[in-house]
Amino acid sequence: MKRKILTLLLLVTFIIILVIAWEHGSSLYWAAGVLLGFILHRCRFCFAAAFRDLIMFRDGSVTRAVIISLAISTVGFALLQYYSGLTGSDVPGNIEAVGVNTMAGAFLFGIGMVIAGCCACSFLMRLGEGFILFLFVLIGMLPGSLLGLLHRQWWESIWSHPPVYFPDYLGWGITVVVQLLTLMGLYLIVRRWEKTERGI
Amino acid sequence: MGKKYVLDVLGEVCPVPLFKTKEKVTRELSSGDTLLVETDFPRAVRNIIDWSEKHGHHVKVIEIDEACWQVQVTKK
Repeated sequence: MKRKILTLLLLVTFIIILVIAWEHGSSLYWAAGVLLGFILHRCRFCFAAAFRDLIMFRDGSVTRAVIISLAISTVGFALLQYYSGLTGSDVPGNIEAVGVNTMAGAFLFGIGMVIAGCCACSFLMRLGEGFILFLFVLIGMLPGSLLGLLHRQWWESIWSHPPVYFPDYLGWGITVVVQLLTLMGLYLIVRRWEKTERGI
Repeated sequence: MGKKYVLDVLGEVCPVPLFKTKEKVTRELSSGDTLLVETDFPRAVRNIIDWSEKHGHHVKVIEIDEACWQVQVTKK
């Protein structure tokens, strides 16, 4: 009974905020954010688990989920970017330079992720669930992101290569097919790896 | 009827609950013994169920309090 009242209250609040936000044009983004958060929460999606569980427990279920989500977004973004190319508008999506800066950032993020036990999105979800422990992650996350932002230009100026946008060189068909085949290969490797040993 | 062991991992986050469960089940429990894992981390419940099923152990979950679960793993 208590739970039903709470759900109803939440639903009413959701609709009220949606109506208010509608006037400012940000309603759609907010609703999409809330719904994505709900899905994340329900499916227990976790980028930290995707890598950690595969190595520690030979459990690649989340790893495979990440690979599938990348495959879906490959097709989605290909359509979006192809369409934007046709209309001549700016190409949507973050097309960023790859270099040692990416590797250094990934390594640092990985250390933080393992210590915290979660990635940047799942810690917000767990904080929302009521885990006070993740408040400390938030305290670490805010100055960490700020420091990263302040140093970003330095990293990029020293280490990175200008962005290489594959469709410019290979064409759309080949790019999408090669990317999907690579992801499929990774999926099969994970599947195989799961069956090999018992983990740590 | 096997022996019962209790593992309290309340407040612990991944990967600690599954890691400790795994250590205890593989090292301390004999066949037929049951480990009662108490956790408040939803992802860990899923993890422990998946791991137990993969290794053929019998597993059962009960919600002992709001957002607090007891995962019962019986070693095969």
